[in-house]
Amino acid sequence: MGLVDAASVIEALEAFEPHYLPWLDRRDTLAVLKDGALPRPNSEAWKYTDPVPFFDPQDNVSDRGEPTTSPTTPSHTVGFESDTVRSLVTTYVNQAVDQRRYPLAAISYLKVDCGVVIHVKPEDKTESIELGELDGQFQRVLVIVEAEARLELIETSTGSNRIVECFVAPGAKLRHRRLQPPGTGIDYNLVAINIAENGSYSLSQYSTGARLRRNDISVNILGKGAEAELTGAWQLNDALHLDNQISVNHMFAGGTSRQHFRGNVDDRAKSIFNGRIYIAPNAQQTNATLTNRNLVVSAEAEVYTKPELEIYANDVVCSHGATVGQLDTDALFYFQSRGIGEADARAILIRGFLNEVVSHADGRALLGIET
Amino acid sequence: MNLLEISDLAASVANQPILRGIDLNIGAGEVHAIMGPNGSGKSTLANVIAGREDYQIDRGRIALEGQEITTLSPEERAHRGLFLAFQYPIEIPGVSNMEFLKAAVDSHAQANGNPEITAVDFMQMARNAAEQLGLNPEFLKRGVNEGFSGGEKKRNEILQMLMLKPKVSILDETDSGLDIDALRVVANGISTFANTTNAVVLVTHYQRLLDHIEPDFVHVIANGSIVRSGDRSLALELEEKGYSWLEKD
Ligand SMILES: Nc1ncnc2c1ncn2[C@@H]1O[C@H](COP(=O)(O)OP(=O)(O)OP(=O)(O)O)[C@@H](O)[C@H]1O
Ligand SMILES: [Mg+2]
Repeated sequence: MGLVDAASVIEALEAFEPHYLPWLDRRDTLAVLKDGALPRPNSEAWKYTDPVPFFDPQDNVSDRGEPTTSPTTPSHTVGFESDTVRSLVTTYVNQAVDQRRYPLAAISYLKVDCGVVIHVKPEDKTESIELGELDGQFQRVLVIVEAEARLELIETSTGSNRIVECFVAPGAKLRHRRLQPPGTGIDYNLVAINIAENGSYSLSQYSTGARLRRNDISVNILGKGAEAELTGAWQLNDALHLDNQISVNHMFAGGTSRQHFRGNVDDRAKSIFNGRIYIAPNAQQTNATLTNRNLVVSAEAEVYTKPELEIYANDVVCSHGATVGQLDTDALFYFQSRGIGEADARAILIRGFLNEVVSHADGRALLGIET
Repeated sequence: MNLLEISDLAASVANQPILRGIDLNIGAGEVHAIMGPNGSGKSTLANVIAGREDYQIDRGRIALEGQEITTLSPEERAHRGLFLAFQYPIEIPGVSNMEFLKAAVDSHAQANGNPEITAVDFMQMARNAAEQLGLNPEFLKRGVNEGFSGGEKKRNEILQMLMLKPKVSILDETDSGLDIDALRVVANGISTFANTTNAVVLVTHYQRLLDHIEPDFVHVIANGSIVRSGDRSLALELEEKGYSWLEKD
């Protein structure tokens, strides 16, 4: 893997002059980056995905022209530039993001050129919000679901660089669906979630790949009875690349997290999955599970998967499993013996495999597994 | 003409010879029973006939309605009317029984130039078959064999046979794992299905299935070849004496 030239990255960031939201306090973020947050040689987090194109200022800034200072905002959202949300923005932004762990999110914050707030209160009747492509190159989405409120957020984005930060207040419920169609560029996504007491967050992420696509997901369990359910499915073809790095952090006792991820990898595609479960010393009575199952249906496809457990509490239930396998020849023969040709049999088996974690029609359509 | 003709069939698995020259002729309207000790090659024979790839045919021929099928894929053999009920039906989570059955039925229609069955007719047919076998139609919605009990899996195999209406059905130990009542129900299903235009081959260890479905011929396989053929009295004799008197070294 290439080596990120930290000095020149910092130099470019110091020279960067924000047009959008000049009032945002960016000093701490720059300090974190200067303090060694950029990937070092042999960084575990960048073992199978080359970090250089993600950090290269030439590569990660598009030539869309001068960034606009007031991007258009979709309905049900308010732009960061609006005075009405300024105090929300300053209160919440980066509270769920560990910038030291996610330096690309830090860079994205420094260069943010499109920020939107979704703020849901219990009395709000908006049940579902769809968020498509946004106007900027460095996108920031702040989702605040107030106590006892509910929201379904559906994101569709080939996205080049988007940081979604969600705050699930006590007793609140956020259902989050992300659809990631194939991309041709270098995509970086971070979803960072804080879940308070009895809050519930569920993610259904349906992905294809991009030239390089990195999905960082960070979930902080911050109260008793807080729940996170993360499911994801991907279908990778051609030479597309997808790198999912999940970290579920149980910081408080009595939380639950369940993760089910499945992928099918074909052609010369490359899939990377790292699932970390962190359980802090005080997070007793935590229940955390993680599975990642992969199908590899081509000899040239590559799959790397690793669960990573860091458990510092003793009274917890935690299980994990990761598998990489090929289509079962016994199952193929069973289909064929019933008259179903090999190509159809393979398609049905792949569909069946992914369907176990896909529960939305748009997800099936994206993955090409409709019946 | 016989429906199925097997002559001098020898086959190996992983370079290990298992079948050592099998001759077997099965005519329309006939029921055959194949018996024999564990490991004698009964399932191997069934799998070789169905076209399983990991079995190597060393010599001999298999003809279905007079046509050589040894070079055909398993799906082509199925389309021509061959059916194997598996000794150990496989579980396929995520694929519903219904979807599986529909794909199977459609593939047969397409291969044989028949019109595709409508969804409504298909549902009706599947429900009827399920009921006939004492399976709750809810089973059709579940994953293929997923979490089915041993007996339910066997019934599901017969359900597939009823839907696909094969000419030659090889039922590999369909009776094992069935309780006494289920055995009667399944045997009834098979008997009702069997007619003068098709043939059924029962691979079994037990006389009790043959009490329900009387075979016209009984064959004993030992060590990869048929060591004795006879009528149904042979099965009764085996029940009494075991296999040792037949096995040659
Ligand atoms: N895939 C395989 N690899 C290696 N050996 C095999 C394989 N399949 C079958 N055999 C061997 O071939 C022999 C015949 O097996 P087969 O399953 O045909 O026996 P069977 O007569 O059906 O026995 P049973 O009554 O126990 O079902 C056995 O010794 C078995 O171990
Ligand atoms: Mg057997």
